[in-house]
Amino acid sequence: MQDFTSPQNEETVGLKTEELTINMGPQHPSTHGVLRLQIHSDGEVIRAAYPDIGYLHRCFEKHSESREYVQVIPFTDRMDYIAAMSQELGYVLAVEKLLGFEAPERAQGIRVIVCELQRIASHLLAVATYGLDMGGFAPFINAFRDREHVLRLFEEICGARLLYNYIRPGGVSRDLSPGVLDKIKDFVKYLKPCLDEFNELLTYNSIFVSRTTNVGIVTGEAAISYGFSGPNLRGSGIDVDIRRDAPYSGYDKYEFDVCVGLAERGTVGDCWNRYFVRVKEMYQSLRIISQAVEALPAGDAMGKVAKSPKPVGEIYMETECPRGNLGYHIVADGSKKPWRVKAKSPCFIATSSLDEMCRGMMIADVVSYLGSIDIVLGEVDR
Amino acid sequence: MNPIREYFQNIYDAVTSTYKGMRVTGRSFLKTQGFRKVRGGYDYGAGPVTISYPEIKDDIPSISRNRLFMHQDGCIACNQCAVICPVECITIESRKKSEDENPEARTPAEFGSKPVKLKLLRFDIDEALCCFCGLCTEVCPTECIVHTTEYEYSKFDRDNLIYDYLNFKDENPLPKG
Amino acid sequence: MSESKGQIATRTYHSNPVAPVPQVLGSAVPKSIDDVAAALRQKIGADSVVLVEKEHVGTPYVVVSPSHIVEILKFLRDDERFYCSNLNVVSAVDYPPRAEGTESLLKASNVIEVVYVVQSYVHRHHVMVKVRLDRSAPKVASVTGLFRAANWYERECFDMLGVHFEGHPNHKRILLPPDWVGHPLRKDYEFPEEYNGMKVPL
Repeated sequence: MQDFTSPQNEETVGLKTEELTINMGPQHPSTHGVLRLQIHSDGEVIRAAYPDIGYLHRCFEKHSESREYVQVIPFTDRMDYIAAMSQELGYVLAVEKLLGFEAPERAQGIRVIVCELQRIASHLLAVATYGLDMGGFAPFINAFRDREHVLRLFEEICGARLLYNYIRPGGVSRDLSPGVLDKIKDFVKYLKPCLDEFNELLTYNSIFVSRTTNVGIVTGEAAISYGFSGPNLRGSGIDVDIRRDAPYSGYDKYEFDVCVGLAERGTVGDCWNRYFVRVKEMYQSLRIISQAVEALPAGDAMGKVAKSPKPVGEIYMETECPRGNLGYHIVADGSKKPWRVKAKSPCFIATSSLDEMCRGMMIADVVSYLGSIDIVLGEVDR
Repeated sequence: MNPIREYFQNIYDAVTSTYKGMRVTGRSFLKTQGFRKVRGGYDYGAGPVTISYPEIKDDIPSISRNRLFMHQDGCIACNQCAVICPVECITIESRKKSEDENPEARTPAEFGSKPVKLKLLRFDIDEALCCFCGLCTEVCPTECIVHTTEYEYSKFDRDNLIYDYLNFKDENPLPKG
Repeated sequence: MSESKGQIATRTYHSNPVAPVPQVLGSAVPKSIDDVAAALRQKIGADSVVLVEKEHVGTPYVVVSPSHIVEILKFLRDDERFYCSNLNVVSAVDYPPRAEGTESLLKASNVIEVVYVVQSYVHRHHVMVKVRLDRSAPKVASVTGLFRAANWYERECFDMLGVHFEGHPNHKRILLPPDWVGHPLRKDYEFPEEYNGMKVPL
């Protein structure tokens, strides 16, 4: 068969051809935000794809230099707005380490429950929009119905559906009202058959499998060099998870498996495996939530920390967010406001891999690759 | 693979995939016919999840953080809410009370009976800027600024979202709690 | 599916060498910052390590000389005692000059610090390496040849703080528009009144 990836011009096929420059513009339903890709393509095959970001840049780092530590927490929510609890937890754990403070056990348990619920909500959105990009509308609707239940649970827990401002230095801002734990247990029982149904609809569907297997293969070495983390790295076969390797907030008390891409379909490191790692992680999150709800001790939900903490020192701390390893580099000089807060965003790094990975793909495969690395432009641009 | 075998394999794959998808749709079609037993959404899977908003509205929890409301009687003009607000949407102006303005006044009992030393001249909240974080409600010493459950207050002009709580006139009835 | 489709889709284009994946997971021997400093002094040279800071609260770090940064990170990446194959972040911090006699709990003054954090998946340790650059003309060699992740991190440091990375393949602004003037995260940055005729909101 003819090889479409080598350049075709007058010598090879006898036709005068030119490279086409297309904008997969900032407004596009499949780029998961305002991402601009300048694509130079030879027909359908891409020769170069230059990502252009910065459309959602909101100067989070500059704002956080003029706000107190507690006032920065609503800003950290808004970076990756789909997984806001994990963003807050990373920042608050870094501040607590600088203060030398460990939150009470009940607060740690509540934090784990809330972060794993958030992981389920975030992965549901990721896999549902991926299915939508590939053309399937029913899995999207089913997953959003389930995500709606999670958002209602969050409203009962902390008062907000999407951007919470719930996790504070010292614990959590408000204890769980009575009855919420039973609702969480009901939800866990309800979700497992829904995930099985979702698998039937999307995961093994032959169109989805043929569009996503063997596309965008990132080998283990390349994934580490690119700086991938989280499900992207585990989809390439590397067995790393901060919750198991360097546990924080009481994760060492719970038993769960780390899900790695095992090539049930396709090859390790392709889009299908990255997607399936997310589906498997949702089952593990349900396990963690049931264990955390059983083991939640009585006690305070908030420890004794000053209203306006004044930490000193410098720290870099990473936590496992649904999209990868979110890191915070905080430089504190003993005053009420931080000197520097840098957020290392996993989606930023995943977007940087687009340039090299897209060469040689067809344009439809770019959509498949973008959906599988699961970027949210709020975190890319901060 | 043999092209003929591949051709029939493709047909088989397509038919089984379609059958599996339609089976899921068929199951949920049959399940959601019927009445919802319980309103409020926590009887998971009891019936259809779609409600005919705006005729029927879902109940939201009382701790839900929607539009702010400030009880004028309870404010002592301490400025804590304006200082803690991350986006600086609260504007407060006050001055010391003169002799004939009842300097020994206290806030009513439900607001903690705190002494009111300053006269409040202006208290505006720009709800378009508010990020609904709840920090102002946590630091208020008299708990006169609260989040209500009011979420249907869209306006045609952004300036109409600057609420003046000293002369509060809103077409919606006063929110509860 | 047919062979040709497999041929197109699996071809990946890597022109830079990649870091090796250590196969021996599980024999984790985390190293301390003193081990790192001793190994660097022995291998690279006594003048490569400027100081080791571990008394403060937080992550211990080692400050190295900017001229050796590429060798140092390559050594940390490939040596079997460290195997720091993952570059976590390249961050930069601005420390403006302090007036005479002012007290501060910050550890540096009148420099721009570029912070590299590398991590090992085998030995389960992080190493924080810093370089201190002259504030008026901050310049350091780029480590894009060692870690592909450094590409965009360094562009962001240039965009936000004005640090020049020599040898970077695509040394342009990344988050701000290409015709923006100034480097926002510097402490003496002044917000412009207008940008292309639009008022800049503060």
